[in-house]
Amino acid sequence: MNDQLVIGGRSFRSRLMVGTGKFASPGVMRDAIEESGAEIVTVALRRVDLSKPDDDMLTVIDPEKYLLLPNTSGARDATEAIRLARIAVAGGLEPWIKLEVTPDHRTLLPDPVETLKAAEILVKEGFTVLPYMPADPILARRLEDVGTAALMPLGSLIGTGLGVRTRDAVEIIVDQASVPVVVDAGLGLPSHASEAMEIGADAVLVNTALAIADDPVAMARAFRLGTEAGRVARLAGPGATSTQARASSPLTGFLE
Amino acid sequence: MTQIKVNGENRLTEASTVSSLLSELGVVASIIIVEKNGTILARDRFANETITEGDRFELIKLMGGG
Repeated sequence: MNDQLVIGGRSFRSRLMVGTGKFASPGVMRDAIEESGAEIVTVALRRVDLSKPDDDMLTVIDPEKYLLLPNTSGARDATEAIRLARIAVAGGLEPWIKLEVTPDHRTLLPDPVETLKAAEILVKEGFTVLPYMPADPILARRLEDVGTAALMPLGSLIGTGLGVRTRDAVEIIVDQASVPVVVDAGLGLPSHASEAMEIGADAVLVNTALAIADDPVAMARAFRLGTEAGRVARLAGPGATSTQARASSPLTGFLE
Repeated sequence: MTQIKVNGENRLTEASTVSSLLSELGVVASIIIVEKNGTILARDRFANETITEGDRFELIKLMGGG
């Protein structure tokens, strides 16, 4: 099936993106990413820990094989996010950025005002911007208006594993969007990834659910299958639901 | 010895350039970004960028993240 995800003019076969945080070991992370089939892998930018100056995650993630998508995690406002995006490019990464502005430590909810502000500036600077955003259809329109390459509404709070609690809003966003919608945050099970894809998301992003599973590699496979199942189901065109029983077997020709 | 700040910590260094500072600290990474006094330094300037008293450096690299 030639069903490709196109973001910012680039095509991807996989509709599952994975994050690289919180894995127990670099080897497990590498194997889980491989098993997930992901082609887009998110990374964070942080100060070098001078007590471990030779620590380098890129020894296990091949930048030739994956598109490294730096995030602006830790940014509390637009200025900090823009600084991180520029730092990523200075490091030699492609000008793609997962824009995250999360001023509130308790909820890690994205700040819609600062996110929009940063998105507008980064798009003008030539970045391919994928904004992590509240599942707000009006904000989605505003972000698209300033030229973001995708929309990344949250399913539920980061790291909670609660699934697509924002289902109704995501459906509206999907319905009106002309750029890919990537459900990010809160997906805890493959069924959540499948649900997001079934309601029309173009892709999903998962990190914690893989990293904290007893077997991250097996969970990565499960998420790959869940994402694919949801996508295929969406393309297959689900039938209408009903509150009344509708017999699957003929109601005629019963034996006497 | 020159008194500088690296990632918020005061340090004395014998290094005279950014490249030699990275070697002195043992920093090895495929991707390393340096900010000097709040300005990003292009990688091709590491070898010639000199270090003077009071300079503030931020050394940044890629970490696991979602």
